[in-house]
Amino acid sequence: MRSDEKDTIKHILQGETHLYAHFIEKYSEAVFSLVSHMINCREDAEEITQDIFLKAFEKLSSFNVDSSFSTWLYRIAYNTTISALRRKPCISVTIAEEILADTDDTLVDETLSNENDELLQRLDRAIALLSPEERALVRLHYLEERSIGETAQITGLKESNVKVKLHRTRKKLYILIKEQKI
Amino acid sequence: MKGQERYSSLKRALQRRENKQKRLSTNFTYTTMLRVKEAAVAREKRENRIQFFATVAASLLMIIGAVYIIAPIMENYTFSIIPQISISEHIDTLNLYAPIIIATILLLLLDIKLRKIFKKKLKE
Repeated sequence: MRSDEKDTIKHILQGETHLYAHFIEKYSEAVFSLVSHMINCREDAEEITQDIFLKAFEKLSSFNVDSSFSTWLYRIAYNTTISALRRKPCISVTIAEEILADTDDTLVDETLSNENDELLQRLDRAIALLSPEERALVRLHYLEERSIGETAQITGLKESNVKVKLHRTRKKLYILIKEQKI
Repeated sequence: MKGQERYSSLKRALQRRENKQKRLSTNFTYTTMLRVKEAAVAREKRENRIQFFATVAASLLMIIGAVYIIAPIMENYTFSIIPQISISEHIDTLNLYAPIIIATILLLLLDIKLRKIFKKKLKE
């Protein structure tokens, strides 16, 4: 963490609340993107994003200044969104374990590396059918290029579990792409 | 080849979704800061209340301790060393306690004033 951010946190904890606006301005778009990616509803996403920053402010004294602020904030964002989704569940597709196990990894890898326009459209629709947790995982690892370790820290899962879930999600995406009729 | 590079179409599809997403409303920081400030004020009030009750509880404990523990001990031992003094003169209660009460009120007012100055300086 940068030393100026450390100082800002110290000042906020001493009562200079207005300095917290710096963190809202810096991280709000990224947090909002993650939340909207998980819940697919703009209004709810904005409200949840606000709750996340409020929670982070209340828990700021427990933040370890030697660790990454964005990872810590993302963890709050992920947990808050998952809790909100428990109250308001969304539709996602579940695929049987046997079907996932029978899917060839080479085919999955080839398909997900093919930048064909039609395939990208199918992939977009397939992503929409993933569970919020799976959407968060693929976003964090493949779009934001966060390491497995960081993704595990944010989601509260074990690194091995993240790897397994990402593997299953890729297979699930492949199956969803193949099942679409355009 | 790294995992992220290998699944380039997945990354592109995620990027497309990202670009399609709407952005936060322009007054987001302002509205969030309003809620943050409310939370800060509520927290300060809560902390002050806790501090006040802790002070009252500690004072009561000290008084109880003085009355029930220290006083009997003092009574047993002190009077054997120090001769007892009998005050026969009439003491005017008001003259005795008035300076103490006035000093307490003045110190309280000074405390409030200094706290205000300190908070003002912190905000600057």
